[in-house]
Amino acid sequence: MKRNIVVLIIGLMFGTATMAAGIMTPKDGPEGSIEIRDHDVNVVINNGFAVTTVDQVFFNPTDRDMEAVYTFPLPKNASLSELSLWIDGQEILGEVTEKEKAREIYRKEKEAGRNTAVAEKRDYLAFDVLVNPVLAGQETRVRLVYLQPIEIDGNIGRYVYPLEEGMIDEQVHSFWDMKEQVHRRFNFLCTVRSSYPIDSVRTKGLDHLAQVETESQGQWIVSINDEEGNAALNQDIVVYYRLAENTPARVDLLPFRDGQGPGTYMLVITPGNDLQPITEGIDWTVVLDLSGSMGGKIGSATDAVSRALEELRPEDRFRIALFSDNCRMLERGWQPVNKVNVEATSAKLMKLDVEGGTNLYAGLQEGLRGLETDRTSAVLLISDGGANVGPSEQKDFMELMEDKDVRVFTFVIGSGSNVPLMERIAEVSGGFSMSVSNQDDLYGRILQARSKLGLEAMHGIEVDLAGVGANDQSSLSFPTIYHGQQIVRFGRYTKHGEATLKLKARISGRDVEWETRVDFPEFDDSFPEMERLWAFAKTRELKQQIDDTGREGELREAIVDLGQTYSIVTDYTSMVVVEGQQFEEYQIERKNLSRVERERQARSVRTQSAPKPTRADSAAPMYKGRSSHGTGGRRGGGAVDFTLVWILGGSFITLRMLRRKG
Amino acid sequence: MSIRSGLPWRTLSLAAVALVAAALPGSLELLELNREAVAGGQIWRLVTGHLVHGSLYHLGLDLAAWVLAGLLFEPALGRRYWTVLAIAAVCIDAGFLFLQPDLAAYCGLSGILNGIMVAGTMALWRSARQRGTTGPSALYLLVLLGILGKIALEGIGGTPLFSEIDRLGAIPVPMAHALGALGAVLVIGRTRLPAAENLIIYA
Repeated sequence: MKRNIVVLIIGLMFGTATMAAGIMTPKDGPEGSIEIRDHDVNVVINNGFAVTTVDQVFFNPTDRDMEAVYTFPLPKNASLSELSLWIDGQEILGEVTEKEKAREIYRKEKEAGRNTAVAEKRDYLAFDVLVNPVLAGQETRVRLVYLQPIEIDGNIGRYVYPLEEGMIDEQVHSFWDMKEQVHRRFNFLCTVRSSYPIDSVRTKGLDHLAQVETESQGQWIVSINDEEGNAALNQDIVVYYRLAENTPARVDLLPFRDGQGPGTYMLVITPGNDLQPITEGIDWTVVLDLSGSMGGKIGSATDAVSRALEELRPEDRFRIALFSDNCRMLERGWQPVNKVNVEATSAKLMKLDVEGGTNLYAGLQEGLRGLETDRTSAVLLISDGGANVGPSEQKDFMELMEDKDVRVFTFVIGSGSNVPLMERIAEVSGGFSMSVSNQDDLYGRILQARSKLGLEAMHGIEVDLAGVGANDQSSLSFPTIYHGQQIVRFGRYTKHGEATLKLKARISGRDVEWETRVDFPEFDDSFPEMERLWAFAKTRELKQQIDDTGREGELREAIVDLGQTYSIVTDYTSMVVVEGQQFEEYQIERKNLSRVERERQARSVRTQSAPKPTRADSAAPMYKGRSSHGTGGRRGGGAVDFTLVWILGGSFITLRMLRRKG
Repeated sequence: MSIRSGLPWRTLSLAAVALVAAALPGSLELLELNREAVAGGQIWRLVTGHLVHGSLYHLGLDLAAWVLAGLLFEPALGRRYWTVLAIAAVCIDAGFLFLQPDLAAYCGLSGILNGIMVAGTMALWRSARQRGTTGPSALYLLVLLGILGKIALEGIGGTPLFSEIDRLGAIPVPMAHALGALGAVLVIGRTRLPAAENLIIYA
C-alpha cells in the first residue's frame, strides 16, 4: 500500500500540474506552516444522497501560534452543514450567519485570542475553512460535513470526493502555496447503501489502492488507507456503483416529516425504456478549450475528441472550434464524416498546444455561428476553466443563447470550472452537462453523451403532485431528460396521504403522460437531511436567477434566509465557530445544534438496519419493465482480426494451388 | 474430397445484405441487437444485429473473413449452413441478452463467422476420419484446435487477438466467438456425417 501511494504521488508530480486540496500558506510568509496530520473521510451514500464527513487534525510544528487556512474544491451540489472545532476536548458546532458577519466575528475572535473557525464558499470554486489558533507544537481537530444528491445515470451512481483543483483562481495561487501532504494517517471509507441490489462498485483510477467489500446485495464498502504519511490530497476519488440489470423503472420517495409543520421530500423518477433511436444526421460542433489551464489535460481531450469523431455516422458532419484568448475554427466549414476528414482532423488536433486565458464566450459564439436550420445541430463544449477573457457574466451567455435552436452539451473537466455557468448553458439549450474528473475517462463520457443523442429525449418535463398540498418544488435535473437520466425534484407538502403523481413530457413532438399514486407519510423521521437538500436546491435556483439577470435584489435576502433557517453555507452565508458562550454574545441562535443532533440520530438508526426501501410506486408502477441500464453507449461487436483473414486467405490460396497441381 | 470451381452463394448473399445495410443511413441504430429495443418488441434485431457493423473498418474485416470462410467451408456444410447460422445466432443472442448486461447493443458478423469456421472444420475432419485418410484428418484436427485455441485465448485476454479495437466502433466481445462456436458444435455434433463425395471446397 505504501509503495502504491508513493507511486501515485510521483505519478502525479510528473503528471498534471493541478493544484489540490490542502493547507494554504502565504508565499512570502515566515518559515514553517501548518501540517495536515490526519485526514479521515467517511462517506455514506444512502438511496440517492451522500453524507460526507471529513475529520482532520492540523498540527503546528513551529514555535508560534498560527492560523490554518484549509481549502478544498467545491463538491457538486453540496450543502456544507457542519463545521466543528474541538476545544479542550469538546466539540463545538458552528452556526450559520451572513457571510460578512461571519467574517467579522471570526476576525474579532481571532484578535481576542479565542478559538474560532469559519467555513465559507469561494464563488463556484471551493470551500475555504479558517481555523485560529493552532497552538505552537499542538494539534487541532476540525470536522466538516456536507450533503449532496447523487447522480445516477443508466443505473450507475457516481460519487466524487474532489481534491484536485483546476488552477483557475490565479489571484489565490499567486499569493498562496498549497500544502497537500497528509503527514500521518489518510483514511477514505465510502459505504454505498441502496434498497436496490448493487452489481458492482469500483473506484476509477484507484482500483489498485482501494479495497472493495460486499456486506450485502445493497451494501458495499470502499476503503483506501495509508498510515505511513505518504498520501497527498491531489487526486479526486471517484466511486462508481452499478445497480443490478433488472432494476425496475420506478418512482422513489425520500420524505421527512416530524409531525410539526410541513413535510419535505426528495422525489426521484427513473424512467423506463421508451426512447427510440434517432436516424437523421446531426451537425456536430466541438468547442474545445485551449487555455493554459488545459495544460495537463489537452492530450487526453484531443485524443478523446479524435476517437469520438470516429464514432460519428456517415450522415453526420462536424467542425472544431478552438478557444483561448480568442476563438478560431480548426478547419473551414462543415466536414462530412469520412475516413479522410476524420484522420486529417485528428492529425491537426494532436498538434495543438495550449496558452492564454479562457474566452468561453467567444468559443460558444463561434460554435453557435453558421448552423443550418434544416439540420439537427449539437454543440459539445469542453472546458476546464472559468471564463476570464471577454464577456464572463452568466447573463451575457444567456443573451447569447437566446433564440438559438441548438442543443449545447457541456463537459466540465476538473474542479476549477464554472460549473453553474456550464450547467446553465446546457440547461437553457435543452442539452445536458457532464462533470468529468481527471480520474474519469473523457472519451467514455463523450461516448456516453453520443449514445444519449442517438435516442429520443423527453422535453419539457413537468412533474405534478396533487392531493397533498405539494408546494415549493425545486429541481436539480434539467427540463430535458436523456436516456438513462433521472428526474429529481425536491419540495414540501402540507397534508399527508395519497398523492396523484403525473409526469408529462414531449417526445419527438408527441405529448406523453405517465401517472401513479404515491403515499406521503404523516410522520417519517428517517431522512431529516431532506430539509437541507431542499433548501440547497432552492438557493441554487435563486442564485441561478441572480446570475441570469445580474441583479441580486430580494433574491439575495431569500438565499440568506434559507441559509440561516436551514444552516447551510451558501454564496451569502457562512458557518462560524466560536467558544460556547460567545454565540450568545453575537446573538446567534443555536439552530444548527438541534438540527445536527437530529440528523446524527437518524444516521445512527439507519446504519443499524438494512437500507430502507424507498420505492413509492410499487402498488401502481408508473412504468412497465426495467429502467435504462448502462450508459446506452456500450456497443459490443463480433470482430475478427487481420491474422485470421491472413490465415483464411492463405488456406484458400494453398487449396487453389493444390487444385492446379491436380 | 473433391474441389470444384464456383461461388458460395449463401455466403455471398449474406455479405451483400451486410453491404446494403452498411450503405443505408441510420441502419446501425435501427438494426443492431439493442437490448432495450428487443425488450420493447423489436425482435428482428435478433437476426439483423449480426449483419450490421460499428464502422467501415469493422465491416471490412468481418466481410473479408466471412467471404474466405464461405469459400472454404460452405460446401462442407451444405444445407446445414443455415442451421449452423441459426443456432450460432441464437446462442450469441442469448449470451448477449443474459450474460453481458454491461453492453447495450451488439453487432457484427464475426460471432456467426466463428460458428461457420468451427462447423466447417469439424465437418471436414469427421469426413476425413470416416474415409480413413490420416493426413487430412490430422490437418483438420489441427486447424480445429487452432480455431478453438484462438477463441479460448480471446476469452482469457478479453479481446480478439490483434484487432484494432479503437477503429471497430464497438467493444470486442470474445464471448460472441465462443458462443458462435458452441452453436456449431451443437449442430455438427448432433448430425450424421455427410457423404464424403459431397465434401467440396470452392477454390
